[in-house]
Amino acid sequence: MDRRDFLIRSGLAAGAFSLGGALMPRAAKAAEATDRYFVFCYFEGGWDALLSLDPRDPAEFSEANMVETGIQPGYDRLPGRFSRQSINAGPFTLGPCVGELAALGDRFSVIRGINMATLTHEVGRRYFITGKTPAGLTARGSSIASVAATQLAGDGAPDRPVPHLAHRVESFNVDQPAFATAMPVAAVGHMQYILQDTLGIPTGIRPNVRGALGSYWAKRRDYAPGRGASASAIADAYRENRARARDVVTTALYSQFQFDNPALAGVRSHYGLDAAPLESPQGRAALAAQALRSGLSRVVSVVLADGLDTHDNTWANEQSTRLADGFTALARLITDLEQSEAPSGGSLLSKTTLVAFSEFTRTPRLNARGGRDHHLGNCALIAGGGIRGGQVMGASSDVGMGPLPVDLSTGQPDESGESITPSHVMATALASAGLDPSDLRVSALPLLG
Amino acid sequence: MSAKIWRMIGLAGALALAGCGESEDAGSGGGGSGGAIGGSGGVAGGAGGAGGAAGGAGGGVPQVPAARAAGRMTIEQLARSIPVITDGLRWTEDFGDGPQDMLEVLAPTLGAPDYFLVVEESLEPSLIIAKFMQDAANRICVRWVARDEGLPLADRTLVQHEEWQSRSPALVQANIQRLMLRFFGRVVPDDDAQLADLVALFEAASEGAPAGLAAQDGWLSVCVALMTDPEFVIY
Repeated sequence: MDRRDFLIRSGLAAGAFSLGGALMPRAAKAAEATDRYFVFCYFEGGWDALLSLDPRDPAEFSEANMVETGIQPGYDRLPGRFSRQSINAGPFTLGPCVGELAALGDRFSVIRGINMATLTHEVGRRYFITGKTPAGLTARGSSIASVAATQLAGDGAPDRPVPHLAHRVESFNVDQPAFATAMPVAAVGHMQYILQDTLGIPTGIRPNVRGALGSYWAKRRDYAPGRGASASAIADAYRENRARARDVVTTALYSQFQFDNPALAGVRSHYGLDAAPLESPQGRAALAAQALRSGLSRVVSVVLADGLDTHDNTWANEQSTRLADGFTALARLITDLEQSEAPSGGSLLSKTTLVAFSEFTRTPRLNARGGRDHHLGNCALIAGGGIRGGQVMGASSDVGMGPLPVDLSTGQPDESGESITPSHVMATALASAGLDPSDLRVSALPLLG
Repeated sequence: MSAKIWRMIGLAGALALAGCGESEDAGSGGGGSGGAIGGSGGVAGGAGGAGGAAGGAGGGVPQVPAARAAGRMTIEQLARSIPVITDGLRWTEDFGDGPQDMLEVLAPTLGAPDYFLVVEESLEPSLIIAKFMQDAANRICVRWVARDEGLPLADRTLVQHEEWQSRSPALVQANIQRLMLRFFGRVVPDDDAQLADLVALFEAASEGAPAGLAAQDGWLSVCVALMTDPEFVIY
């Protein structure tokens, strides 16, 4: 056994300890007041709406009338395992590349015809993440995930050690408390190390030293009141985070992220992690579920699909496969949360709002290289507690798939209406949990109920 | 975890943090509330807030001298400062591919710029910074204590009295005063409250130590406390 194996196995052995009691009672107490969660699922690179959330019937939108419609579904170019048709998902139709999500049409709603007003990845991504139009490339507000983490904490301290966890999703905090800033995790497999004292490396520091340091830190004194850095708000935030960091490492939470631990066999099986690598859409979905279920976080941002920026002939194979994998992972996350109990009772899904988004969609016509470029329109998916499933809000036009104006009180197309924007989607997400979306200056879509 | 994997972690971390620079810009543009620390944006906003408050209170004549807002050391500053404090020690680990500088390996996860996707560093004292400062202190201080104990007095940088094992209260206090000067850059008077608490920390850690290791555990605890202190990390 080399040192690497030793370290890993040492971690596994330590993982046998159960979830510490220090954290959960606090979590359960706060849960009585606001037992709500969010998962923001980012599909990176610009997803193809025709293949997923905003399909068209290829019999109606054929190659023959493509010049008139400006729409080319292209389903006949997909690998053989995908349908050549759009799929009946119950309340609505979906594209052929939504994987297992097609069976859950009553659990989520779709928002179509979102006006992104950008063809730039960073701008579209940051528009969705913050719910506010960026200034140039620069995000103009905090991540909605950070806003949610703040509001869920109410007037008190957050009841989760990592209120906002972000797996490879940008996060911004310009006006929220320090605790609402995302803790970044670069890979699913890193969580178990990040959450362990000194990455799980034995330090040789004896209990008497740890105990003495614990007592020293517990005093949390400002030794230099009114003087310089030590008296600053940033120093207070550091002291607060230092205490939370110790909470994290002493509660054995890391064992909830050791996916090869026999105790997590059910999670592995649900997400198919015996066949799929940990750093996969399934692994990332499992990370999100574990973060909520273990009491680590209330808000998780996670990349469920990447590499969707398919401008060339990789579109047929890669866009379709990556979309299907991402939506299947999302479907399993939904069913996992549905089968898990929330601390305050009921299913975890009924207490969680899920939003799936991308920076924009791809052009409705294939380009000369057999790929699709950036398109101004977009779509999104929203599910979970406070959201009525099986609904469609907004629409894209049947000529060129441009965003259609809608009556925002009904969500239905209306020539005298307004465009749906990412702000509306994020306002709806916040409102679904009873949080205040007023900073976004738009009202929620009529999906609540 | 091989070095290769850690490098991949770093790159992925850089991708994850690609927006931090923008958050700084947004923060300075938007200002910030006095009580909220909103990442680097909050720090910048804090500076603006202080100026505004001073101007408002004094009717144009600042009553509080304008000063640089407190900020966290960057990862590069930490990586450079720690060897200065410890006379050359860094947080290194060997996962089988030779020693790796962990602050370098973890830099993207900790928010350091790579000047490819990230050009400005988020300087907020996040949980992960606080956590990894503790990890770094745990590893570096153990090595510093072990190295220092074996050196002649003239070469030591941790314990600077003749009898390394001594627990004489006077010697311990004087040495902690030297260490506080070393870490914080300030001369600490005998009646300093933190000095008293650090002396008590030394004693508490020493008292529970195995036979012959009392001073070792005492200095280890003091080292970790100083390296994780906001006065070291924030300036």
